[in-house]
Amino acid sequence: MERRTKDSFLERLDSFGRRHLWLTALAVGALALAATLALLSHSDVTAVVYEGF
Amino acid sequence: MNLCSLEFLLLLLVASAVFPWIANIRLRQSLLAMCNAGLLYSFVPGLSDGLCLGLFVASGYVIASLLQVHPHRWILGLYVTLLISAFLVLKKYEFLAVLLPAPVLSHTIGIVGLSYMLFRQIHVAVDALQGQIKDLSLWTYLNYQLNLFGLLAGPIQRYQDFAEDWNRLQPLAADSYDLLRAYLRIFLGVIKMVVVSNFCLESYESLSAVFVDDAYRSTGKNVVKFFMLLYLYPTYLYFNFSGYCDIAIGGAFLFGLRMPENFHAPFISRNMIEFWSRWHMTLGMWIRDYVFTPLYKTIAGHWPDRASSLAFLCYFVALFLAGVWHGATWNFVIFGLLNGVGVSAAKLWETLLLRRRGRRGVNAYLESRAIRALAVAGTFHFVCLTLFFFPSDLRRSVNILTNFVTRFG
Repeated sequence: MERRTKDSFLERLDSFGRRHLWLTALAVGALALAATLALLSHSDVTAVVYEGF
Repeated sequence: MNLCSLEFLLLLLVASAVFPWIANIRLRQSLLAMCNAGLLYSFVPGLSDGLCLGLFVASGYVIASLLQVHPHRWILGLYVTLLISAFLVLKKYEFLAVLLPAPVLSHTIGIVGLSYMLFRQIHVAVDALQGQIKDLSLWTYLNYQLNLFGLLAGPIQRYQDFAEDWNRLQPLAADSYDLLRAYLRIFLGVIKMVVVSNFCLESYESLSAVFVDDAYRSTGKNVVKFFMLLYLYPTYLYFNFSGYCDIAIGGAFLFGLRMPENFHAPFISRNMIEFWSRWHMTLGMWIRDYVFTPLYKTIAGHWPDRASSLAFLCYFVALFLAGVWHGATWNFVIFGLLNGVGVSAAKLWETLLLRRRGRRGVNAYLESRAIRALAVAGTFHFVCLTLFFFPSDLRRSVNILTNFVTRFG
């Protein structure tokens, strides 16, 4: 149960996002819009398969 | 309320915006506790279900407290046996029908997140016995067990890690980038679940209908479609579960909780042992810590000369149990058996290689790119085969395989 260290790819992506904060904010806005539209258009979202009932 | 819903996302955004402005730690904990209770309430259908849930959760705290004072192994053994028996009855495992009278299994009690609670209960009890949990408090324990970000489907977090964050519950974002990254992860998780995973499931459903059809035998459907079908369900599962974990981990981060990661590129594993350290990682680690290691230690204690050669047996038992845990129906027994065979074969192969080639030969084997590519492709297809039995309709899975083998075998 230990925490895994990040990939070098993710680290590079992180440093890029940190340097270009406005791009990150833009990506968040775009994804937020896409996620909202997706949720609005899919009323039949499948629950998580691994749901532990 | 589903974690992947507009209502949940809106509540999450509002609560996470309020959270950093609350100065008092008790008030921050209370806000999160109220959110935990709110989500739980939306999932508990009736009073009897609530009472059962309360008993199940409370028993863990009582036993862990008892084990801290009286660390007797028999108390732990008895409790774990009772807990697993209760779990099997509550989940109505199909094989119990031949052992127990029908009325026992005809109950209508449903406890939300029971499977994951079982893991957390056993972990807390074992760690309490071993003296690894120093400060067990009821307030922390209840919020650990009913944490909305891990309630439904994990990730399975250690009590000690949760308590560390809970006791100083404060915003984790060091700057605005950290905050943006958490939101990015949540929205990405939603897209993975709603768009990608839904698309894969719909494609799987429509394609599998073709293969179940008896007319399929007489028509010239191609092998490519079968392999598409074989790949679609694992892809669906991956995007569904990893998307859910993204929402849970990103959401928890906004409230000062660091949940463990659950996926790390599972489909590039070179054997089944590696696969289980990349797919549903917290389950793999739990199985390693609380099933494999104690079993291996017991065998090594009784038969020290044979311990290393019997390790494959421990792998088999551990992964078989992990497979069976996934569900109460017979298809999960097959899923567990296949996984057990997969991991024990990987262990046997490793032992065989070491005997034949020695350490230097094994290192050369591991460094070969061609062998790695073959191993990854082989493991991926084996994983797809095991997950072919994951959908609960076993007859349908068998039908598809039979029809395919009859046509192309």
